[in-house]
Amino acid sequence: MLGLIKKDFLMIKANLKTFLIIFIAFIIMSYNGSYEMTFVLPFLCIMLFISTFSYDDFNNWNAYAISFPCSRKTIVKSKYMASIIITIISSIIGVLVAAVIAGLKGSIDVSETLDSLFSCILAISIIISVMYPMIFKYGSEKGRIFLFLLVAIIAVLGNVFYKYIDFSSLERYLSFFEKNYYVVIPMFSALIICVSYLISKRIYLKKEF
Amino acid sequence: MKNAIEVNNLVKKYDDKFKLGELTLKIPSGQIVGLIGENGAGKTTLIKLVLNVINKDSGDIKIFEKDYKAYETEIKQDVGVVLDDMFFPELLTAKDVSLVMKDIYKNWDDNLYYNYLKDFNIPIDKQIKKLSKGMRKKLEIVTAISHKPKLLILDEPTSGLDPVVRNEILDMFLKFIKDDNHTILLSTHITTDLEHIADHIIFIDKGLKILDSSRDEIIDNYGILKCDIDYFNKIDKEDILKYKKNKYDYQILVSDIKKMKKKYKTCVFDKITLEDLMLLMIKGEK
Repeated sequence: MLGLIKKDFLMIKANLKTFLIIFIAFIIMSYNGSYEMTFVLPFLCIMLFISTFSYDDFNNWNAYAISFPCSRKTIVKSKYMASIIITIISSIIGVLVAAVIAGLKGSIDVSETLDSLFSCILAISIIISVMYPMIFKYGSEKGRIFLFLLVAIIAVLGNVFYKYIDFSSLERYLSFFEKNYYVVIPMFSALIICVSYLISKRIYLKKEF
Repeated sequence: MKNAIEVNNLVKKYDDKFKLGELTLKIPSGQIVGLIGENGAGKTTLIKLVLNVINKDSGDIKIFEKDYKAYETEIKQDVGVVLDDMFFPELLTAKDVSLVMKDIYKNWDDNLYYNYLKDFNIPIDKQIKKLSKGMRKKLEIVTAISHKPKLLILDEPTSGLDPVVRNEILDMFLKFIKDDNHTILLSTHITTDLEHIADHIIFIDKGLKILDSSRDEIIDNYGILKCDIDYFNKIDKEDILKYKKNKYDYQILVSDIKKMKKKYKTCVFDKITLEDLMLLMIKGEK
């Protein structure tokens, strides 16, 4: 599995130049107070990582990798592992950069930084969990289209929900989550990623290339 | 070990349009076995089945005399592959390939790999997409043999390459096969390549095996009889395997050429090439 994870990181490295340009642009914007570094950096990294899936497809990497002495399960697992490692590393760097910027500006808002970090982790977990099974099932190009469709459907449903549901009765529950988000979010993230992995594995075990 | 690969009653169906099998064949170890056939005859399907990239419908496959699924990872440590249009993402470099493969194959030999790269002048730090087609194919083959596999499975390794590169590649295969334990399964539609190197030929057409014989047997036994239309009508129908009508003469595919030469003394006989054999077998009339 180490070899497969390494390959994903080498692909990010190959894309590093593009990545650095965007990253520096964001730092400049963040310095002006328009973006939160802790949110942007991990988000950027995972997006960059997901873009490597289309390189895999383009060169039929999956069929080639299956000819290696690694099981299909390992191939799927390595994608999830690489994503998690990238998110952790980029979160740490993001926090550090945010701290440096805040230090330079002379105002450190710890709770705001943590807020943005946790919401970022949540967002990334949802993206990974929904997108990876789609990509494994339909390939990276089609998977992206399906993701758009899914987001559109959720947006419409959410809109309908929002109109017809009385939120005041839910407030009590919501405030519990809000108070304990630093426990709830990691647990929820871990849960959906595990479920997503199991679904992807099932898809991949049957898939033909 | 007698056979590197054994396939028994293998069947794979693609939505009514194409069916492979039932197919039963053996790839004897220590030999270069050429898999020939038209585009779409089922060569790649067979190779993908053997590698478990696609799922079989029925039948069984053994590699190194072990079930290919039950011992999959163990078997694949000793198999090297070059597949048509399947390789590392082209963003990566030859150096990246070695960094990854080191952790994939137990027997990966970095020295061997870099020596090959040097021999073939393959740049280490250039992205794969910037390599020429021949360079790239050579990199794929070098990658496939640098973990010292016992079995090489090659799908169209020479298609689209110029004669110089093709010869270099064929020399690599000949060097590889010098070890008695090594086996090569090579699919191609460039049959002239096989005439130089193959020990054994398996011919597949429309998903079925139509010929499975050693190269020497084919060259010694089969032949082409050439005659005009009057003579053609005199020839025993059972001697004609397939025939093709040309503008001025008939070309007839015959087996047991020594007997035929005695029987039809006035006729001209041509030595068979694999290409003629393939053309007549597929396109010839009966």
